[in-house]
Parts: sequence; structure tokens; C-alpha cells
Amino acid sequence: MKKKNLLLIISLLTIIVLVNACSSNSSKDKGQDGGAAPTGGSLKFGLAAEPDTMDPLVQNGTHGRTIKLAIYRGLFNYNKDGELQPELAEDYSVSEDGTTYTFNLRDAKFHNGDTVTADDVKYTFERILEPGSKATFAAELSVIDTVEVVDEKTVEFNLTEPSAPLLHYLAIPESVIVSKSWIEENGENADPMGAGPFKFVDWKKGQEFTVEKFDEFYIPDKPKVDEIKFVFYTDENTRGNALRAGDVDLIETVPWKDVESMENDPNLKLDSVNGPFMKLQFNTKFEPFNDPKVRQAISYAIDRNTIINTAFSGRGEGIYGIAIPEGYMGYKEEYANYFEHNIEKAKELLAEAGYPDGFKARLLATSQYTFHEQTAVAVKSELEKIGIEVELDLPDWATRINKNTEGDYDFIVAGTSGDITDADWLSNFYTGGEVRLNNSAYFKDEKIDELLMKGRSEIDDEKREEIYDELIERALELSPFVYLTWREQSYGMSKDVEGFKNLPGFLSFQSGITLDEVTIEK
Amino acid sequence: MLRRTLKNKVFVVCLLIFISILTISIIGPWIAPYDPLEINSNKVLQPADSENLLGTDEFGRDIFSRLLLGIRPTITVALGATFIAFFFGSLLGMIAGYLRSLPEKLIMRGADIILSFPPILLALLVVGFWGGGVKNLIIIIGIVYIPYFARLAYSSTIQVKGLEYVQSEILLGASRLRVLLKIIFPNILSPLIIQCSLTMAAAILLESGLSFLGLGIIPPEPSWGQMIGEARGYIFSYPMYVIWPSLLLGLTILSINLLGDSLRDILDPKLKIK
Repeated sequence: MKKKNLLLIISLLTIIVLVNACSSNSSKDKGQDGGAAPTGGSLKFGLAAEPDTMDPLVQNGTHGRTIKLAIYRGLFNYNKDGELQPELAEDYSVSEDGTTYTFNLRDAKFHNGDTVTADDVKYTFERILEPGSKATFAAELSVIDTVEVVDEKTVEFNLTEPSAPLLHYLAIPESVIVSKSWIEENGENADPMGAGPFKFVDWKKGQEFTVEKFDEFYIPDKPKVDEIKFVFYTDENTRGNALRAGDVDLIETVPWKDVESMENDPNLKLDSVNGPFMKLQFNTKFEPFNDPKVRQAISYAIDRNTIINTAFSGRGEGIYGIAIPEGYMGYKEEYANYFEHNIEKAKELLAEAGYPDGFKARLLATSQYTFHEQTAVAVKSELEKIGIEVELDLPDWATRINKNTEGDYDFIVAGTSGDITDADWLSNFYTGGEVRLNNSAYFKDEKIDELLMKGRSEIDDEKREEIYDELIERALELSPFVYLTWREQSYGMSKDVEGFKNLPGFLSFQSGITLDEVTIEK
Repeated sequence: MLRRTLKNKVFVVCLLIFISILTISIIGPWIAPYDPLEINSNKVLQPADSENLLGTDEFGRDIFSRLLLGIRPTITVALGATFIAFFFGSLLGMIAGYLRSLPEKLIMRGADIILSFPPILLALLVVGFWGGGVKNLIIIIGIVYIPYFARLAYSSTIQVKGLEYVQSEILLGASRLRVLLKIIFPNILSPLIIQCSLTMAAAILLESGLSFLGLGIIPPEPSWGQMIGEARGYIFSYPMYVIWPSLLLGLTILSINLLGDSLRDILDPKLKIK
């Protein structure tokens, strides 16, 4: 009796395995048939998350920006070498006092066949600047006072004051041009439609986002591939395995532990940059963290190598100062090595601040992204060496963001990057105020605020250098942030993919701009 | 009874495993060769050698020491949650079964509401609001399993209450409390004890599941489920890391479940003739 049962179970299991094997085989075959299509081919891109909205004026994460740059284009962009260049604007001129910019638009078409006109540009920026808009960069773009339509192809921006970073803010993916008539006819929740190299086809929520080649893109021989399918893999292991198994051709944010094995895989290649960075943000209303000495002590106490070796599998580089990439305005070697790993010094500073025996604090991170959690664990173990007892708070990512923007933390692990390559990226981080995603809650220093304003309205580069030198010195002294490491950000792809480039420096999150050059051989 | 118990080999083996796991959960911290929280960034993910019996994890922490300590929160949560579920569940179930009418409706429909959610979903929901940690997990998992005990106690109570010896006790004027605790409770105890062992196993699985998802025991404190979750990422490069905690967790749950099965065989009076 028992033997019979066992036999039955075994045969059932065998059938299940066989059926599974067959079905997965057949789906693979299908994939290969599709790849043998004559021209262009189809690229499958594994993203780390699904965007919550496709309204271009909202910063919807690297994954959202990648899709955005496939569908939309702006007046300017950062090209694959990280340089600022005109895109839908053919050229521009600036008035002598630096407050009027005139842009001449090139002949470009939206996906519905309409020409990109000055009206659309005016509409785009008025939509960003209108009171109550959801635009992430409304504050940065608020230097734009009015936008005037001169003729169909010419548009004039009148600024409230000269602005050195203006063109940079026009190049970020949140400043892409939308079609006035399209949004007015179809409403705010219209399908995404822009002047980029790819047309929107379909968004299967929770699964994939499909775009196809736009034949009338303003650069004649671009894009190269016929179709891109963006597939969402929130789990980093699944994402890595999908690339290995050939389910996708390209993935973002290769898990650090997989970098080495992918480098050694003959079928894969990686493109990595040390652009984004990890830092600690402090709630400056929390008693010990209101004291700059305590924040400096933390910077001295943490051995950045511990974080690199544990959370990032030995990849990346420690930051013992402020996160300015070499070659950017404000970079100086002395600022890059302002701090060092020195436990004695850290203890001294803590004692000076009145906490010789340390204190207790709550560190917010997330359990959703392994590298965030592991950074938090490493920071905890490092700070315990100087007597600071750290309790970890590791909710899911959405809760983590909520707590971040409500200031519900003592200190927090953050992974981010500057938004632009101009030194004014500092404004988003250091401008005083209550609680924002990227600031240290309630941190406000009048001198820093003043220098930030001076820096952005000064056009002369030499004078700007001086202003930012002073600013950075002050910023290091007060250390509202403790910078931890440059984290190596990698795109992993199959050997058959050519033309995709990880943008250098801060711009890694905007690498989607190179999708129009991608080719795939199958 | 004792002889019959000792004859049941499955029972004896599982009991031994269970007792040794309990023992480790108590003395684990003293026999662990290393501090399970100590990070050593110079020897990350080392294979087993004479220094680290089972190798080191991604933080350079000793896996063997973490396994020894990782059982403690799991067992604490399982015991605590089972106790809460057993205590409140039996009490409520007995009250509902004994009094019937309104208390019955309130208690049993309440139990139905909780039962309509899959345990993991309910636990996830509550952990999302309150956060993880041993204390919260005990309360949450305890509450999740209260209805199972309540139902069992309820139906057994109804059954037992109709029997002559209980009815006669009631007619003789015994107080409700006496009837419930002295007469009914001992007579419905054996199914509840079996349910305890099942709940233990389920609570361990639930705790491990939550910790696997990163929402249970708060790192860096080790727990087996959480270790499996972390080790999963290294399954290709370093497979032994994920195998150890999985093996131990599987063994623990298997032994507790078999313990419950054999306990039923032993406690069931109908099987005495065998």
C-alpha cells in the first residue's frame, strides 16, 4: 500500500518536472525566433523597479529616468561623455546681463507627428512652475520668471537673476519637452508621448513597459533597435539571474556580489562608474546630532573600508571628505581627504561635545535593498567602537522614504548622486529648511545659504571657484552629512549589446540617454 | 503509558532533537566560539577552515556562531507565540463553547475574521505597522494563531459539555469556573497539546519567513530565516552558506511536526488497543 503511494508521488513529480521543463524550453525557443528578426531587433532591459508615474516632471528614480529618456527629449542633454549639449534647442544666445536666454529650436517631431514648437516649450516650463505642480525640480527652475514665444521656432526665457546652472537644469530628464496639445486633449494621465527616439506601446503594470522605434526621430539613423522591453525585477538576485539566463540583454544596478562573476562570464560584460555615493543624513533636532562635533566624530569613527568590503564586495572607494568627483568645480584634494579613520580623534570629539560615554541613536535604512541594509549594519558596528549604540530601523523602501521625508529618523543611510554636473548640485543637499528627501532634517546655516545663492547667480567661473571653496570649507566644518563611499554603479549586459554607455560622474542615473545608440546582435 | 511512549521510536528521536535544539537555544551564547555580531572585513565569505568551523558570512562573521545564536530568537518567538495562542485561544474557545449565545457569536465570528487572512499576510500587515523584533513577533504570531486554538477548544467543549459526568457536575451546583477548569479543561487538553506542537512548527516557519523577507528579527541579530535570506544571494558563489541554516530549520520543523504526530498516537485513547 505504502509502496504504491510512493510510486504514485514519484511519477506525479516526474510529470510535473517534465511539463515544466517542456514549457520553459518552448518559451526559450520563441525568444530566439523573435531575435532572428532581420533589422534592429528587440532589446530587453531589466530595471530594478517599476516607476510609480510616467509624468516626466517627477523624478521617478533611475528606472523611471531610463524609460523617460527613451520617450522624451529636452532642450539640452548630457551626452555619453557627460558633456552638456543642445538637443531640441539647435543653438541659443544669452543677453549681456545674463537674464534673457533665447533658444532656437531644431526641426523635431513628436510621436504623433506634430512639430516641436515654442508653444510646447512654454507650456512645458509653465506646467513645471505653476503653483502646486508636482515637479521635483520646481525650486531649481524657479529662476525662470517668464517664457515668451517669439515665433514658432524661437523661445525666450526671462530669468529673475543670472543663473550659471540654468542650462544644466534644462538638461535633466525632468525638464524634457511635452506636447501641449497632447496633454490638453488627453489629460494629465495621457499615455507618455514626447520627441524621443522611442514611441510608447504598452505598459503592463507589474511586468513590463514596451517602446518601439520612432521613425521620424530628429537624428536620421537613430535609434538602432526596433523595440525595447523594460522588464521590472525588484529582487536583485532575480535581476542578476535573468541576465545570466539570457532572459534580458541589459540590467541596471548589478548586485555588487555578482560583479566579479559577471566580469569573468564570457557571455557578459559590465560598464561601471564610481558616480553615485553613500552618505549619512542627520536629524539636527535630535540632541547629540545637533552638534557638528558629534557629526565630525562619526566621520572619523567609520572605517570606509569596512563598508566597501562588506556591503559592496570590495567595490568602490571611500570618501573622507565631500562627494565631489575629480574634475568637477569645487574638487580639491584637501577636501577629498578632510577626515581620516581615527578612532582616538573621534572619541576626543565626542568627549568635547559632552558625550564621553557615547549615546543611543536610531539609524534608518531599508531591508529592501541589500546594500542599504548592509551599509547600516557596517555603520552600526563601526560606531559601537566609540560607544554609540545604534538601533537599526529597517522597513520596506516606501516606508523608508516616508520616514525620510517626514524627518522621522535620528540618522539615515542614503544612496544618491548630484543631479547636475554644475556645482549648484550642492543646493539640493545643503539649502537650509525643514525636511526634504536629500537634506539633513532641519539643518540650516545662513552662511551656507548665502554662499549657495551667490554661487548660482555668479557667471564668472573664477569667482565661482572662490565662492564654492568657502562654501565647501564651511560645509565640512559643520558636516551636516557624513559621506561614506563612492559606490561602483554597474550596468551588466550581454556581449551582443553595443553602444550602451554608463555616463561618468554624477550622471550614471541618466545613462538612458544612450539607448538611441544601442544595437543588439542576435 | 510511559512504556508505550518509549516504544515510539519516532517520538524518542524527535524529542531528543527538539530537546537538544532547546538546549542550544539556552546555552548557545556560551558555547559559540566567536561573537556572532563581530564584523571582520578582512575575511569575508571564507570557506570552512580550522578557525571558522563553517566559514564566514558576507560581513566576515562566524557562521557557526551565528547558527548557534540564530536559534534563540526563533525558539523564543515560537514558544512565546504558542503560549499566547494556547492560553487565550483555549480560554476564549471554552467560554464560547460553554456559554453559547452571544459570547459564542462574538468570539467565533471574530476568530473567523482572523482565519480568513492567510497567516503570513496578516503578520506582514501588522509588522509593517509596528515593526519587527522578538517582542512584536511574539504578540503578532500569537494573535494570528489564537483562532486555531479557539475553534478546537470550542468544538471540544461543546462535545464534552453534553456528557453525563459534566452534566451531573453542573446539576450538583458546581461553579462555572470549577466546571470549566477542573472538569472540561483536562478532558479537552490532548487535542490542544497536539495543536501546540503544530503551532510551534508553524510559528517557527512564520518567523523565519518574516525574517527571510527582512521584516522579522532586526539585523544584525542572527536568526535562521534571516540568514537564509542573506545567504540566498550567494547561492552560486558560496552555496554552503545557505545550506546550513536551511538544513537546521528544516530539521527543526520536521522534528516538531513528527513530535506532534507521535504525540497524537500516544495520547489518543482509541489507539490503546494496538
